[in-house]
Amino acid sequence: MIRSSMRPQEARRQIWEGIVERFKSVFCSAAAMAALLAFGTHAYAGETRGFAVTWFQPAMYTGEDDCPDGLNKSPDFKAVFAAEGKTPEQIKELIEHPNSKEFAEAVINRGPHGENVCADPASAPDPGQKTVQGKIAFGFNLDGKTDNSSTPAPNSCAHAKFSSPDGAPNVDNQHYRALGCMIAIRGKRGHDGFVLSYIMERMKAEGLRTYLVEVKGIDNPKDNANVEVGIYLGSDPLVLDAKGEVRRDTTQRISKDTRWHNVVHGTMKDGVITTDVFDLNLLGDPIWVPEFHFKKARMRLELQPNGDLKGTIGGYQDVMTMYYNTVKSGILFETTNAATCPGVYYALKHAADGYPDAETGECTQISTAFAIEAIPAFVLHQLGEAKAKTAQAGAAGHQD
Amino acid sequence: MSNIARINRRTILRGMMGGTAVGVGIPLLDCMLNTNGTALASGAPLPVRFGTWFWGCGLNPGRWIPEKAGAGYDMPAEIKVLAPFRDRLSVFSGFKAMVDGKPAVVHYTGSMSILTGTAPKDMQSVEAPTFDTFVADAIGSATRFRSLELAATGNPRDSNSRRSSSVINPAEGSPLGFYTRLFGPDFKDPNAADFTPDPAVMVRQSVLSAVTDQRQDILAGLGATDKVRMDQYFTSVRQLEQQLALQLQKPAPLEACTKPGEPSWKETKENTQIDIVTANHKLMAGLMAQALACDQTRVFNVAFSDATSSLRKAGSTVTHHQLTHEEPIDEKLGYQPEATFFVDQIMEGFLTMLTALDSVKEGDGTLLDHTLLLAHSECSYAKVHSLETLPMFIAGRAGGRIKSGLHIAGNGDSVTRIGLTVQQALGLPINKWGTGSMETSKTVGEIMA
Amino acid sequence: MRLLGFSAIVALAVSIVGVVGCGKSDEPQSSGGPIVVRRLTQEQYQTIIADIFGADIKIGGRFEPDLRKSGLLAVGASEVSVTPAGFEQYDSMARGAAAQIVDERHRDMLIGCKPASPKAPDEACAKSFYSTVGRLLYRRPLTGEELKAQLAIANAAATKLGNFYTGLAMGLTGMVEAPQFLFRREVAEADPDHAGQQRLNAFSKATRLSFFLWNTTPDDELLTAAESGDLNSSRGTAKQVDRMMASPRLTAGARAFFNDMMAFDAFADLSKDTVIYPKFTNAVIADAQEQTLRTITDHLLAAKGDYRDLFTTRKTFMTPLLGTIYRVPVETKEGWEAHEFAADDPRAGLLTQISFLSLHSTPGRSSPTIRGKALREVLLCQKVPDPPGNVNFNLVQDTKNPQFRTARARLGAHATQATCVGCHRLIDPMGLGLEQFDSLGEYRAAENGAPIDASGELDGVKFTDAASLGKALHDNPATPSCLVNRLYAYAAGRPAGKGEAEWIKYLDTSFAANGYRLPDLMRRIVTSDAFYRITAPETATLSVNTAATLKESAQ
Repeated sequence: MIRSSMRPQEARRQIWEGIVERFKSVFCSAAAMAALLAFGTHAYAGETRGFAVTWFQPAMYTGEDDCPDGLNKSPDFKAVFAAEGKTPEQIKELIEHPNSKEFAEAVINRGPHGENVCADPASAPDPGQKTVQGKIAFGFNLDGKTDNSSTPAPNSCAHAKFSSPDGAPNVDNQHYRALGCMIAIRGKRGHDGFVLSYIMERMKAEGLRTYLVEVKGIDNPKDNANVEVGIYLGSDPLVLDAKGEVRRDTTQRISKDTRWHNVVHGTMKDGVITTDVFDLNLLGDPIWVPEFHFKKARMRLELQPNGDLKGTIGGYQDVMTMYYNTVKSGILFETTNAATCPGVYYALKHAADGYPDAETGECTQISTAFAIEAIPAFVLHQLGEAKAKTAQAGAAGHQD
Repeated sequence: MSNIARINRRTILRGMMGGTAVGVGIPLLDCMLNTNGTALASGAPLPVRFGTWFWGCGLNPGRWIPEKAGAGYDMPAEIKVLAPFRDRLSVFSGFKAMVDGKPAVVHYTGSMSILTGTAPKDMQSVEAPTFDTFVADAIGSATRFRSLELAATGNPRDSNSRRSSSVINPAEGSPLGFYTRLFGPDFKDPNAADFTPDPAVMVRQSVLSAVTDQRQDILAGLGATDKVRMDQYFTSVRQLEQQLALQLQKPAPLEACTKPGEPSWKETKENTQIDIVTANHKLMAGLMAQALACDQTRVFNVAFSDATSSLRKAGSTVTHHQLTHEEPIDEKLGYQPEATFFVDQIMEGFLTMLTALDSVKEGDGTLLDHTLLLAHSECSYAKVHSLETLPMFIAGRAGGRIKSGLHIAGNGDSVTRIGLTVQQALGLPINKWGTGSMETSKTVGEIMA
Repeated sequence: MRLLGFSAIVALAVSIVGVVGCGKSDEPQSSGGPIVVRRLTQEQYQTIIADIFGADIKIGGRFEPDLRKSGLLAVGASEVSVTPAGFEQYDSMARGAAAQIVDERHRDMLIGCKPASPKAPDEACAKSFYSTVGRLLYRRPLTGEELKAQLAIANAAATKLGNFYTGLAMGLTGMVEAPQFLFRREVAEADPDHAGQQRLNAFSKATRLSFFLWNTTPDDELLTAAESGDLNSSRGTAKQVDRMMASPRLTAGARAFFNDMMAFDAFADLSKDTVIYPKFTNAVIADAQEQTLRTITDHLLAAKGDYRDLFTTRKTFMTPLLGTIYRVPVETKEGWEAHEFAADDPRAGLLTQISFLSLHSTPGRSSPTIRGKALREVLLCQKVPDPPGNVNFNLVQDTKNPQFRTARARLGAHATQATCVGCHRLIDPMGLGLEQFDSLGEYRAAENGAPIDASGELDGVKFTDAASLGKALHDNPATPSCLVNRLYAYAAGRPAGKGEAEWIKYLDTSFAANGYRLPDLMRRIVTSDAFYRITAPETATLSVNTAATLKESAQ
């Protein structure tokens, strides 16, 4: 702030520093971005487009070479029971009642001393979950490392890199590496693993969670030096159409809870928006992931000819949070996800590649990439805004 | 003129109403009949039955929905086995459950939406009675059992018929138990039973008589066209009077009713092994057909499997439900072959039920022709627990009250349209059903006769 | 509204001095028409039960389908009867309603007296109930014979079944399924003011008034006016008309009329291919109808607007669901908000509302022919002949033919056949004016990549798009005269007869003179003598813009 008592030179210096700061902020963080806007400069003249998110789940490339040894499997229940010393009669009784409490307990409490191996996975030995061996995954170069040396980048743990499907090198996606050979989450987009599509089906059917995207500053349909991308928690449930898809062109309000507002600067080149780095915070789906926190996040978004928006969001997520979210259904996880709790635990632990613990040096976060898809919507920040908005929600009706 | 010749119909009815133990309709006077004297000659109509047939874990997308709508629809792989019944089987696709912000409770919301018209708020809730209980109250009150529930898995909890969260009509799980309940010592030959006419029906008849009594006054002074219209109205009133008159007669004997022998298969324990379930179900279906033929009940609910289908092969720990989630989709086939084995077994089971009903001859047709059987699951694609396009079928013609043999595409409409249609077809006084987004007053007009 | 409060609540009437005044002196002579016997519509049946016994009395059952004649269900109602299946339903509905009315929750409030014993007949209580309720149900006091018959049933049934209330319900059931209730039968009497002529008697007059203005049974005050003879005088009639037109129930009456005129009953069978139109749902259907009815009643009743402006107005109302199809933001989350389209928006007037656009389209594509035909038949009261039986529609239906990318191109190719060209020339040009809206009513600038030309001509007036088509309709003299025709036929239950031609012409003129205001037109009709004049039965109808005229111009 410029004080009136300042001498002119001092004032000029502070102004210059302010400009530098502002310049940095544009390219550095969303929080600073918001500060910049508060400062009063608005660099985003041009069209604003609103979208409602219809898909937000881990991006699963699902290449043919990913899992040469096959996919992971459920625990061998008969072997588990035998190892627990059950008699053949007891085993037969358990098998005939696969939905019983006894069955569940016999499976889950199989730790060396009867521990619950989902709640306390470290109590069990590493069963060796099969992980992705392929070379391709969605995502971003999050740690900035570009050489082939075995030395990890600063604030990282050693790990192999992927290439992106369109050939970009040095992609970090250890989340995919650890869990990509699990049938429950593996699958090309449109043939998604059942856990992912189950969550999205419920999100849609129940109107559980709405995420909104707003892109400001579209002067030119293809190229814009400065755009602003906002990802917000919405406060209105999604509404479905007759096909059971999310209805297009609905009016959606942004939640008043600013913890779930994420605004970042980006550039748009040939229809593709690339954002600066920011921290993404979103209230999660109430089924699996209570909250999403992506550190060092970034996005790549592409406007589609029909008015939709598709892209990828990358960043680091806390590895233990991810473990507990993944296996939170316990026995149901082990009997329907074709994987084991300890397997998932050790795979994630070994793959973690960000934010090393100061004492142990073990990484506490894991690189990930999410696929995001959105359709046109009217996004309102406040009441009274609708009247001012024109029919700008994307493509014009049925052309055929 | 003798006294008897001067008795008109209403004098008799009024006499009946005044007295207490007046014999009804015997000897039958000419004036009790319609003008042709044919109403009773044709006999009382055979009773209409209603049933549900449930299985868990749905069908595979792309393998059961006919491409052609209406009659003569094609039968894709998973329903091909039902081909012998195509003309008496309607397929409903594109009808869905809508939860309005409530959780989509897996393996539960779908069936409860179909049966109660309301999405449950959790796994324990039954927000409204399942509509089979309404049907049972309407058409089942005169029979020995208001309704009968069966579970081929042997588990009494595998019953969808519920009056509330706490009042669940438990299912009979053992064929022998079912046999004993039906045809054990308490069984009375329906053809030997006494008959007591219902005084409420007599009163209703007198109400209608009072309406028709006014015919001359109403017609007086009307133009020729309006006279014809009003006469049509009075004809309609008289037709209902005649229907009531039939209800005051002792019903015709149930020719198809024979007491079956005790079943040789006596599985009494809960068991989810597919071959045992199939054998149980076959026996139960046959017994149920006899129970219906002997008019022991007019409403029945059968569960072939539980909602999270625990069906499994002998000796295996892997259930149908587990396979729907864990089994990879065979890239060549485009579906999960192991899980689909159970789907095929289930549809075979449905065929068994239809065959059992169809093998009882009744009147000009079969028991199936006088039945409305609603078959349904709780989700469409079990892999993702989808509530879109819940699989539903209606078999039979409900004694001519519905048209059958059609494929109806719901285009995303609520499943409650089926429930409403069924209730209306069975004569329940209802023109709106369901709650929230699932409230509907739109029946499936195509199948209403 | 409860039994006892019925008249009290509707009598909030602030008496407004009629804009039109008496003005009977300049009324032309009219022959009048025959009496009609109309079956109650489903909506009327339900409204009446709710008015008399309260809205919580549930009526379950299927009603017989209505019949559309001369463009109106209200006219068809004078021709339909009751089938056996239909009567079964009436019987079941009547028993259901009667059982609720006498149940423990309702009996004290609705019956108005208590029996000496609940287990035995009580003639005094039954008599008081039947006379009160019967008068509202039959729209006149019960005759002595009718009352006697009712009591006989109630007494006998109460004795037989050992329950006063069940007996009472049985008698009530009979009343609710009786022809006196289900059919509005009119009764004529000699007109003391015009020797040799006949008029409706006071109860039939009250019934016509009430159903026309409110779409329900006459309330206590109106029946009292009929009983006292007040309703036979111009003054007495004017007083009741003032009261009824000041009531909010006038909106229900107007809605019932437009619902009928716009043929919204066809929405019950409307379907769309949801693969092409995923935004189409049953909720959209309901909102689309309501939007149009709201637009109409707001404009005609609340704003006292010019009827013709309905086809040009940019004001309407939106729900969140409709907003997704009109592609406008809608802030309210539940219910309705006012909306005004910008002056350069392609939408203006009722023709561009989803209700008209979607109702008059095929499930998979828009149809200029169907829309043009609807515009002629529904809004201009012209009859368009049906197509000949042997027409080949392949060309029109194939929307993927790269040679004919727009509907205009397809129809152009189709209508080269001599048998088709005449009719298509009559109806396609106005339908093509709406082609920028697809079968659902969503805007599009192009079809199959080819820009849509929405220009055309309506009865010699050229237009360039939907908005200017609306203007052409606004200016077309057949537009207001069609409304006059339909409104009169709706009120009378029959089309105007030959002997009423002068009278209809007079209504046309006065409608124009009063700025095409609906309430004035309604008042003019119900305060006239002509409306209640009765002749011997005859069926010949007046033809306005008849098919013959159209055929001539088509040749």
